[in-house]
Amino acid sequence: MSRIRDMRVLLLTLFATLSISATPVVSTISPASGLTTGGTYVYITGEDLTGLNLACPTLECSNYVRFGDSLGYIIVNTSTQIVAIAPPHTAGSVNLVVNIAGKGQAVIANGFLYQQPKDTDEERFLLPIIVDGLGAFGSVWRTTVTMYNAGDARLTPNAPICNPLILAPCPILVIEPHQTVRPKLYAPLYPQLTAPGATVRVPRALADNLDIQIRVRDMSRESQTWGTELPVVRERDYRPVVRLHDVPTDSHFRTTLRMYGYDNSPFPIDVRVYDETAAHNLIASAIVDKVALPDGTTYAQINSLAETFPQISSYETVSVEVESSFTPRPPMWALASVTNNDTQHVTIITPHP
Amino acid sequence: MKRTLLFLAVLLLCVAVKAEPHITSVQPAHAWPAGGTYVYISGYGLVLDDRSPSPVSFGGVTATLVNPRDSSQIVVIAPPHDAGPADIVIHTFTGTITLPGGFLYGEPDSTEYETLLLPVTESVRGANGSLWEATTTISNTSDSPVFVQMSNCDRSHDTAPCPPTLIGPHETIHPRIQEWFGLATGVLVPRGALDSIDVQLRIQDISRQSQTFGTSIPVVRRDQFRRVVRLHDIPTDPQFRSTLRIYGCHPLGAIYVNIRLFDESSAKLIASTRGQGGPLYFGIGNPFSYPEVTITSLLNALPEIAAYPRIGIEVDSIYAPQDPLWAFVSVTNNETQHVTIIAPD
Repeated sequence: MSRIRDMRVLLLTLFATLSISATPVVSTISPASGLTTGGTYVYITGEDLTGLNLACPTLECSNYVRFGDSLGYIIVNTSTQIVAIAPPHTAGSVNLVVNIAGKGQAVIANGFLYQQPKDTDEERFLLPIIVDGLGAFGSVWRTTVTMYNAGDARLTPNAPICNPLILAPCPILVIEPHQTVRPKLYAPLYPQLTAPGATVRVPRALADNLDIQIRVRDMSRESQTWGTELPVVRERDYRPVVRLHDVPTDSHFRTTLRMYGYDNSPFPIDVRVYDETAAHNLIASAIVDKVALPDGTTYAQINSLAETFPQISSYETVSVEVESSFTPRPPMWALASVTNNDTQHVTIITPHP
Repeated sequence: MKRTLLFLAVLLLCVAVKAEPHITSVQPAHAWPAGGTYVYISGYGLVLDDRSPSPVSFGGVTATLVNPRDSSQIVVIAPPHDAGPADIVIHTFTGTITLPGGFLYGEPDSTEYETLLLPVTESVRGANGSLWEATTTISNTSDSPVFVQMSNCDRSHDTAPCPPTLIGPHETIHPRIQEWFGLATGVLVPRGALDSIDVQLRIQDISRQSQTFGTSIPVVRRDQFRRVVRLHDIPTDPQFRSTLRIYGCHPLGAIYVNIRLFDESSAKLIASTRGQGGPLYFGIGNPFSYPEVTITSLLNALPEIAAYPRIGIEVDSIYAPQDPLWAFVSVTNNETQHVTIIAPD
């Protein structure tokens, strides 16, 4: 009887060991090729693709996808699917390694093919706030966009340089080699939205030659400030969950939350607000609908965090977490603009790089 | 009876093991083959036997003792060693501890850790009565504790970097970070935890606290450093003071840079200059420090730019063209002290 019991214990232990150390299995990689500039969203399906929570600092203790010798950026990770952004790499086939913490690796020899971009491929840049008009408290906001072509070939970015209210043929923006231009851009029209961003598309092979800088400034207080620079968001900057920290709730400031979808998926967005002084103490949450903009992107905005979530006023600063309410979570990006009601000075809070 | 005896034996064994000196953690547990990394060894009964010619060794090579703190922690400098695992051996008064393969020599930065540059961390008095304060926010968004390392301790009498800081699951901290021997500093984050550690940095003139929430400063990953850094749309109007800061990414090295200033409307070169920066003491460095070049006022340093309303700047390395750099310009209004940060896109 005791032997049978020992045997059972042994079998159970063996089974448990095998379960814990089950090797992840990859069944499909789609697409199995991408551009040498990186940025391709690669969908990897299989089994056992979620790792164990290991508190050790080595790379092997984390989930990762390696393309040749470069790590991809994981944006979605469920037990049956990983979505990773391919890193830049030289042309040719590379091994794809999927490492799952505590479970092992799946190595797919020559699993991904890097190709040179075609002339028709484009990279998309989001310019998050395009504004030219009156704001609160007598402010007059203007966005300045600076574009510089650092390459030796002419650039013709696809940018919204024509007023959408005027139905006339729109010229093409041309930037000669080593030329700086400051085009006036127009945000897509949508009722009740103030200053959504604009999208600029550039041939992918030449995208690294284009520098874009963007700055917003209250022109009614021109002598007091050079304004506030905004980040230009590239495709690889989008992520499944966006977290913004150190957001003030003081009534001296009005805080606007702007959320940008990577594509035109219609799913609403979960917005959660946390107390930063206590670990994971949820103060408030809401579901916000996105709107589809004419340029093929989606956008949502909370004009005033304090008005939407009055309960946050009892906390000095809060953190905000934003994600799509759909699984797998489509990638997105967000920022909080904190504007002083008196001076109109703007502080931009963006996600960690 | 048998069970009781067995229980007592196990208990005795546990007590004996507990009483023996032992190691509980080695932070970091890896370094470059050249050595020089400060290693924090924590444990129990770590009272070193000063009669031993080699109280602490890595792979048979004696490690330099920095600060024998107490019996629960010692700090040593890892000696040079070939790439690969090395045994840590510690001779204490009550016995010898051996941690087989306890230290790994290799390229820790490229595989295990990511260093994030915090370009401005000092809290200082500035021009026109301003009082600048930098706020760093580090948040662990995961369910596991994470160790990060940064300059967040008093090192006025101590050249060793600060010990690692543990951030609990879903905890947010606001560490007070200081420059390290005049070098810009960063935060060392385990690469495996990089996606769950958020770092934000903001500077604010707290003498005008009610007027602004301050300005966010980019936190920079090493892969955002580049061979040529270009900055555009920089005003030369004397109502602003524009400060250029340039960073190299090799912690032990100095940087020598070319700085070129262009008229943005005609692409004409207006002025050029050179700069250099690096560790104050040769050989001192840690994985989270950065050599820095600063031009406090572009207009004072290069007055010829005053004839152009806006300029562009290009920066690259003089002697090592492939060495990556990062740079930004802060544009501060002399009256309101509002700061605009111009960084590479």
